[in-house]
Amino acid sequence: MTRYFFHIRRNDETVLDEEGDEFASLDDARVSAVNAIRELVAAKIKRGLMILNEHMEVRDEADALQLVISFHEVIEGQLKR
Amino acid sequence: MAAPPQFNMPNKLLALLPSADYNQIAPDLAHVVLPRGSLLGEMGKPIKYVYFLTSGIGSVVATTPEGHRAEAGLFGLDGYVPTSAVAGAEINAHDVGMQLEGDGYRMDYDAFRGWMERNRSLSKVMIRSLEAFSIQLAYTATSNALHDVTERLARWLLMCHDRVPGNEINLTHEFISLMLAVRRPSVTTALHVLEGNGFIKSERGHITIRNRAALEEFAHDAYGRPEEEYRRLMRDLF
Repeated sequence: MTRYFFHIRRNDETVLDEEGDEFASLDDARVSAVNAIRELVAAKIKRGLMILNEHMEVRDEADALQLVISFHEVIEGQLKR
Repeated sequence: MAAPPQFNMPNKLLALLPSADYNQIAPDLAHVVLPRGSLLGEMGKPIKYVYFLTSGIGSVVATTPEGHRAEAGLFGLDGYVPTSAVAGAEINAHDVGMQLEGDGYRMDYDAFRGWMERNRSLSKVMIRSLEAFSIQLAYTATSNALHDVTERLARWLLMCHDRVPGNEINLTHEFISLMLAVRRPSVTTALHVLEGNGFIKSERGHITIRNRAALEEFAHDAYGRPEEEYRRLMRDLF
């Protein structure tokens, strides 16, 4: 198991994840990150708030950047064309 | 350790009893220390004891057949006895565990059932506490359906704050996410909003309430009604 941290970067600020969460693989961490972004975006849509292009950074325990997932990309992946 | 004289009993339900009734049941109360994570009841297992907390916070967690879990209600020294126990059922319907360490008094379940039949005052208080708790559950269900995560978190922190002596609550985001049945980043983000407003300070595993009045205002109609109902139900009982 590897502990990954999920920080959220916005234009002007960062929401730091100080706890992290353990996953068997980076792929599992990615799935969890995408699901979390869906939940965060859904809450904003429900309240009529604008969705900034925030990014979720997934870092390992050595603080090495493993993944960057764009909130907008997650939404685009959900759009039926 | 035996139960203290009633004027020193922090558990609100026991403190409410007329003193003659309290003195009658007190010999069946045994002091227990309850570390975080200790189970006061396990879903599907026989009820062994009922607990009257004097500190700490416990929660009732509902579990679906597929293993999804969410907190249904929480309690502390305001007192709560499982609906199953008040109903005289043999088996716990839910998991009940300590989320913040504390202590309390417990009573053997058979003794409790006996007192419920023989002591009208005790059964009156227990049935009132059942009503108060079911009001809390109803508002938790309403809040889960109607309020956003940040408001629900504000409500939940206020409910915890009501039950701890100071302004500090030791909780991880992981734990809060289980309690609110949301993903951890939603908790982290919601805490960030509350902290940005100056209502709380959030450090690793540790939340400090900085401005309770503002937090209540933010929680808006998500907080307050069940607390008011509890006070009404427990007033002028005897």
